[in-house]
Amino acid sequence: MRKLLALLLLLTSSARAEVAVIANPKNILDAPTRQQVQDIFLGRTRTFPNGKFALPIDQTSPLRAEFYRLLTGRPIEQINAYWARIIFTGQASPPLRVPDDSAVLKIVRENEDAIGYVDKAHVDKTVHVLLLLK
Amino acid sequence: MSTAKRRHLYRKLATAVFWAALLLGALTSAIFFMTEFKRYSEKTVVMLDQLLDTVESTAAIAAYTSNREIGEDVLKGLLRNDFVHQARLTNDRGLELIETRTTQVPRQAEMVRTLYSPFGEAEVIGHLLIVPETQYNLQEARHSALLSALNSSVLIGLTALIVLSLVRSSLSRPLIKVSDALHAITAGEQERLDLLSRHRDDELGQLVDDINNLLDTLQEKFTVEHSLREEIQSVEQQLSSLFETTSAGIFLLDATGNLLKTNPTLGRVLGLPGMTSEKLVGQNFPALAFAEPERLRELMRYAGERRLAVGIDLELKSSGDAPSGWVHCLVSGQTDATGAARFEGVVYDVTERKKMEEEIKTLNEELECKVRERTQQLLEAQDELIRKEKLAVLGQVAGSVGHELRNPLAVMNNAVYFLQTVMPDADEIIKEYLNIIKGEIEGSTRIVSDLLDSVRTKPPRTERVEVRELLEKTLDKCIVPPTIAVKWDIPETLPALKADPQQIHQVFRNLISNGIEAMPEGGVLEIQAAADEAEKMINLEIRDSGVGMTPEQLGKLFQPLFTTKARGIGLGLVVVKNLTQANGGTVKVESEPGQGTVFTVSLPMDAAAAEVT
Repeated sequence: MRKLLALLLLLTSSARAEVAVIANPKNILDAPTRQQVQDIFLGRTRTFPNGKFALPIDQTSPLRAEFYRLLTGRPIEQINAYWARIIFTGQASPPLRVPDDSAVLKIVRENEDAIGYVDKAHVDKTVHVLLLLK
Repeated sequence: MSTAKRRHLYRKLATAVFWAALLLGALTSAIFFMTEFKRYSEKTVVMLDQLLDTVESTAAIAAYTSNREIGEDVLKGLLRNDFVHQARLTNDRGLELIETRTTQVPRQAEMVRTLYSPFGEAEVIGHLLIVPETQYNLQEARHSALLSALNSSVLIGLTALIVLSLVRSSLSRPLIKVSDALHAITAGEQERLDLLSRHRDDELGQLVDDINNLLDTLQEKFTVEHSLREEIQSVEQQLSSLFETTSAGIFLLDATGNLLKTNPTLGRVLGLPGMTSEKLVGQNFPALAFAEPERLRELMRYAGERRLAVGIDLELKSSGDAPSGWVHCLVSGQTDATGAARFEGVVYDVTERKKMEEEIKTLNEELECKVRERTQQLLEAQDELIRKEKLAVLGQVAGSVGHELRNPLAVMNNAVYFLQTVMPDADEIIKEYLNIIKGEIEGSTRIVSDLLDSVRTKPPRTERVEVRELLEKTLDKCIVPPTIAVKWDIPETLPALKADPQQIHQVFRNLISNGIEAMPEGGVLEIQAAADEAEKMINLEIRDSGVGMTPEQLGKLFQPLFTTKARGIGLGLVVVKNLTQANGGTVKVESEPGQGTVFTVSLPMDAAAAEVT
């Protein structure tokens, strides 16, 4: 039964395999690399490669685990532990978290510096896809 | 002294143990310090490694996010450990954080941990570097070493004390006991050491046994030595009594001849009875007693060079009126312990022997003299015998011939006398020839008289005769050639002779005419007379400066028919001798060829006249 569930989970995840990293269309950027995206989301850098300030938007949805797994290859627990350690020092904070893709889309549409991730299926013309994670 | 030695032994042992303990403690501490330091250094490396493991992820996060606060937290946390001297965090984005302790230590090998990105695949994002704190290691090692040194010192000290007390109780004390017992024993006595009950089977027991054996041996040696000493003493006594009582003087001299030691007899032997041994010591021996010290010094030199005992007879110095004595001196050269030359010797009295030798020598001389005399007498007797024999033969011839010739000669003399008387006016030639005939007749008559006188001497008719008168008369009768000078010296006081004047006149005449004939080339004829009061004789010397005679001629001089003259029959000196002997006198002759001849005629003095004068 558990094996079946795991298989199901694998199937669903593979079904949702593609995550799109999006930004405001006004933000004219060359397509950033996976490393550059990772640096922004994990607080290593606070700017885009073009030097503009970057505002990463995180999610609380299940897509979050998928996004970080695709981006870093690490489980979400490790990412959480990382942030917990940084927060413990009180010297930095993790990206802003929103409930779902629509909220992400809304913030990206409205904010020129924002960068977020959504399921590829929810991408529309109002945002600019920087990177597709499979 | 023995106690001091014992204490010294203890002290030496204790000092040795102390220094050994100190050295061992220092050595073990040093080794311990080094090993501990190494161990702590290794331990520190392990601990640092663990520490780095602990902070690595946080440091990686700090480096990843370039978060200075987190980095500083990490570094401060590291510095909280005593064994960290310095910590440094760097990343590839220019972050460089350093935390250092203020201690001054030698630089140590730093440890570097490479920091990887928490998310990337082996992406190097920075380095975490730690320098270990050596001071800590040193302190730890020193602490451990000190503890170990204390520990080992205490242990060694305790062990040493135990060993010392054991040595003292089981070795030193029994040894002291043995030593004390040994001190109480007099060597050579019967006492022996007691066997130690606890040490019967060990080395101490062996030592006591050995000492007892040694004491046994010593006792034996002492006994032997004692008997030897007694023997030596008795020999010494004998020698000493010999030295004291011997009749010979014994002495020891140094190299210069000064007396070092004498026996009591020496003074007496040297004829110095007052000189005791004490007074003699220090005196120079050769100069002290001997008439010729140089002879003794020479003897000493000889003895010293040859290393021989040499001896000679030496005359002693004469003291006062006493005649000097003689000693025989034996000297031999020696060297004393220091190598200096010494002379030892003996003198003994040989005065009696010397006297006897002198007597024998005198007697020998007398004997020889007598033998010579007797030989001379025998020779003379032999000569006389030969002469007598010849005279006997001559006598027989001369007796008849002389007698037969005498008468014709007397007739011839008378005839000449007659002719001279009857022919006083004859011419000169006849007179001259008559004189020649007369002279030759006189010569022939004399020859015949001599011949007869030589074979049968008439007994002398002695009377008082004055030498001077007789000599003057004789010289008147002699024809002296002008080339010959006659010197005669007859003292006025010369006593008269007691002799036959006719016979002595003939003696003088023969001797004077012999002297003249010995000087054909001329010369001096000396005649001297002197009185020998002791012998009551008058010696008359007739000396010519003529040709002289050889010893062979002298030997045959008084034999009949021996002549050196061209004209002569060898009877003149025979007559001289016969007549002199007949008058109780002697005739001697001395001559050398070319040196002339001396005839000495000794004739008895007129005793009555001598007494009168």
